[in-house]
Amino acid sequence: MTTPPFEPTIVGFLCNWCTFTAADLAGTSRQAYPPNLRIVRVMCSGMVDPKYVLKSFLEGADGVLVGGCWPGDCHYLNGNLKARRRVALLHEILGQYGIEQERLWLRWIAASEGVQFAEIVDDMTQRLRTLGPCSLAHRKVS
Amino acid sequence: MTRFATVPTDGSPTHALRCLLARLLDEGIVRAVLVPTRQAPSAVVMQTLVSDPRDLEYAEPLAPVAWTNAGTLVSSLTQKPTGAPIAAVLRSCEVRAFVERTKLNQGTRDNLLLIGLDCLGRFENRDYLALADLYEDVASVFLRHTPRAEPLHGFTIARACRACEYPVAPNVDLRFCLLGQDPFTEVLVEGATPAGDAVLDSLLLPTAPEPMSRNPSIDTLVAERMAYRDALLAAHRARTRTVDGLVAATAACINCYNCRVACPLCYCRECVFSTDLFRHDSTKYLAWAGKRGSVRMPTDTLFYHLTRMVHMSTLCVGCGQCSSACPNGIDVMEMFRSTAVATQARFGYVPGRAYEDKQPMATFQEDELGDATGQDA
Repeated sequence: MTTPPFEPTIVGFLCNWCTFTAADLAGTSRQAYPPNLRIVRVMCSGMVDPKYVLKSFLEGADGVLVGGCWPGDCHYLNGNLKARRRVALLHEILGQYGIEQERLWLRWIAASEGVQFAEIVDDMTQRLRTLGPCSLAHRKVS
Repeated sequence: MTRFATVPTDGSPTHALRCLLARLLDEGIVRAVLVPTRQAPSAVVMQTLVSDPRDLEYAEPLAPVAWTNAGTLVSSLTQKPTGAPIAAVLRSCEVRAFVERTKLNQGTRDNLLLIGLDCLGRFENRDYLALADLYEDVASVFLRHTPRAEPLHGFTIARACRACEYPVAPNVDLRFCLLGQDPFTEVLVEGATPAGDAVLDSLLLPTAPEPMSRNPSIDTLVAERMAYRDALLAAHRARTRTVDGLVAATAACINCYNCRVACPLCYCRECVFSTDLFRHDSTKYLAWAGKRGSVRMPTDTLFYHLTRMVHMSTLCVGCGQCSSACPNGIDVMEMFRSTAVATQARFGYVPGRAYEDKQPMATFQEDELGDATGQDA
């Protein structure tokens, strides 16, 4: 008996207008992508409070994906650009404590990009399988 | 072009500065002065808003202690217009914190005369009280004590101050200059803005040339402090570069949130960690313990510190009040300053540097941070 390979848990905060629609499109067009992603639909990537990301990691996520519209396409004009600042900030803070930047992905995925969505989830899952469990996940402290 | 005026001190700089502040009140230049003042009969020195010049008798503008970061206090004093001009005597970290608060619309420079003080450092509150038991005039003893980073009767100035690279307060109208001077002979007052110059004019203080010894003296002090800072933060980084390191560093945290209360840049009017969001249902704790095998209580400690880093690390001025307020000796200042080095560098932001600089989380550019998405066009 060999131990099963590590399967990362990914929490995805997907914007209603682009990335979530892309996920929907991936589904309706029968694109397969890894079941590691747990999707939370949000109205805009700009409403992803950094606390959501931190809490996801503290509650056991090995990676967090924030999906937003391409710059210029935001339904709320610039929520995605605010999200980008917050993600850059989180990269720095988490990086201080050895949590790799590759565990927090911000990706622009348009509503029509179902194929790209599936590819990105696939890439992220592969990368996290290599990285292994997040050291913040499932701790006895929170 | 800044200009300098000289105030003779005749052996007592504290007394000379009291008289100078009294003149600001007497001549109606300001209605009140916020100044560190001894809370007689106690030796505790707290910021005090003084409108009667006679009450300046206990003012201790040079006392090497700061029970609280007064940036928060000036923010409270100025967030609604009062129409009355006031002056505030502040250290560098307090001014820089106040500058950040004004950007959050929690304070304004209107009707405010900011007086900065060359900061030689502060003692921890308890250490200051111990020194006050030994000396009647701790301020003068400390002014004579060199090098200042060396212990005085076994007490050393706070680590945050030893690591502070900003002894000279920026963005002030007037500056009490101590570095490169003999404050027992005279204190130089620098008019750093037109408003400050106007005050020097109305007080008819004799103009002095720019002192040659001042800048070299500042440079030497800053270099010493930066060397100490770099060593301090490097040692802290070495201990905390992993999640285990962070857990170890915060293990003694009891969620008292004193660091948050003491922090002049924790600007939220209500902290999310004090809301019902964190008043978990009793069954929740059992669920966590069940899921993980055990759960540390109180919970949400790492979550709290990481969230605070998100909220204020880009604005941290390094005053060290967080460490001073911690009942369990956690190196909060080192933790936040070392994170702040990374977050402030990421956005090229220096808190307190300029009123015009936008806070990193309050602005954004269309074309920036391409590496955050890995989708550089």
